[in-house]
Amino acid sequence: MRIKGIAAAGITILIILGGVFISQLTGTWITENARSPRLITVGEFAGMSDPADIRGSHTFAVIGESFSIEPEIIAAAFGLDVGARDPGELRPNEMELFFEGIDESRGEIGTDSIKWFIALYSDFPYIPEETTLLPSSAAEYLIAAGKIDQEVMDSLQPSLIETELLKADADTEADADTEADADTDAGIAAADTDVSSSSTDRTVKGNTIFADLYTWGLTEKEIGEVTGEAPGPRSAVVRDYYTNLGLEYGTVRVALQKLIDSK
Amino acid sequence: MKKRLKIRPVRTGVQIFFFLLIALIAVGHSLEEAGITLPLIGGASLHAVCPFGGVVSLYQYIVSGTFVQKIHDSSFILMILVFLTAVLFGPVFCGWICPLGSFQEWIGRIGKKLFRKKYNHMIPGKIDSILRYLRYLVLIWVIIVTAASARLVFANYDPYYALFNFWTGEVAISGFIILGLVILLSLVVERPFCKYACPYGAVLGLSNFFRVFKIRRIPKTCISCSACDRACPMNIEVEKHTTVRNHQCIACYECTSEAACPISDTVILSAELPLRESAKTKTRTAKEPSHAN
Ligand code: SF4
Repeated sequence: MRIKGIAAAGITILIILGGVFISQLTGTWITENARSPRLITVGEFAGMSDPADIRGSHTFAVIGESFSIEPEIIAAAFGLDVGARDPGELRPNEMELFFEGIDESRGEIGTDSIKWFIALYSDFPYIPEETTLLPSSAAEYLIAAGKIDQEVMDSLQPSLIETELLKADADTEADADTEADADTDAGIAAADTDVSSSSTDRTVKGNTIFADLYTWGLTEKEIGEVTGEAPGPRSAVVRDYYTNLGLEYGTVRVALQKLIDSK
Repeated sequence: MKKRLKIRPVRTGVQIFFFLLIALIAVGHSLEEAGITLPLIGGASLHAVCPFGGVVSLYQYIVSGTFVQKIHDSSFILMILVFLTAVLFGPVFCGWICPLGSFQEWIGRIGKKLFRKKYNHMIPGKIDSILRYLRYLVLIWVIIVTAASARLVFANYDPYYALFNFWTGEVAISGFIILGLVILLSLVVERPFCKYACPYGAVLGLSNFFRVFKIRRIPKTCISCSACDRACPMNIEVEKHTTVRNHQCIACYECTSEAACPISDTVILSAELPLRESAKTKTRTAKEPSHAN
């Protein structure tokens, strides 16, 4: 049986594009992670949305819906003046732009700051990245709303940064950048503790691999017991490995850190 | 002689279409991160529309039912569709669709102007034939490091990712260096990355051993002018074989009677040897061993 080369190429393209079209129709063409944070299915927090699964691309509206918090409150807590823009349209991945002027050696306000804020708001255990900062206004909102107590507030101090109202209006992004620069300079001057001072060599971080855990004295069995899953290869990144297994990394991290600290 | 629809212009058109499509998807992804969604294109990342992402995720998917970071269902669907087409017609994806392959070909056109007949024939045959197996080592390395780290480690070395993401700040310096090397090499060798380093080409190239429709040369009508050999970007000596089963064939069909071969129905794409030829081969095999590839 013969076929023309052009026909073969045509059929190939048809199979590929047609296949994509059919999978779009059947809803199996998924090109991104879920549009809202996934639900926790086991344990004390079962049924609750997972703050650790908040993505940079989720809108404040989606986050608000998942964690029962008004988008306006998130924006206000982060000191954002949304102007004409709908606060529900803001996304965590815009934070880095708004707070671009922060000295990188000190830390950053980004998607992880939103995760941390929401976790504190929801009384959910979450250990942020060691470079993550929170605007002071966010912590002030949390304590005023009774979401955290003075003890938690004190523990947050090293990671807080003073910010003034930032323009988060899309049309005034340039202004927002300039103001962020000025604001963060002031914030850095106001902060009297180095945020990175809390880290030690035996701290589970975003880039910790399983080999580090073994070096710090944990055994495969212990890791399996506290996480409920067998550990990954020695070179695998702990965070990625457990996130890919569908576990909430914040919880895993807390459990592993406890175990390391107890050694 | 029947007037033939030449393969080259059609293939170039298809290549330009897919190159622009992928470029648009890459731009769309950047815009999506800035809050702007392109109509029809959306905000899918390059990883989400790369069938090789499905291949490197296979191990993790089988072991734990999850994807490697940044890989989604779409990569798996594309992987299956491309495999299906490769089983039928060979690596048409490489020869007609892959934008990095097209990009190298376009750079190669400058090389052809500069070096004329020497172009694509500068690497000594022995070294070249050994280097052709390098891409299988790359494939094995990519699969192992991806399985061990659950990350798309290859993205840091992938010239395709560098080409379509150079403005994002996400490309590792190693990616830029390899892209630069590929561009320079493309001036002297046709499709250097495809030949020597592409792990996905390595996977799809294997389909040449079992694809349903193979490139066949009909010796009876062949005038041994070597036009097919000269047209082949992968330096396959079509004229020496009755059936092309070379692992490097990219199914571009440039060697066929629809393109380079000046004689009708002499280099063709068929599921089996045409009747008159198979009859002849049968008679011959009764007397002498076949010389099919
Ligand atoms: S053998 Fe023919 S189809 Fe295969 S790569 Fe060479 S020219 Fe293209």
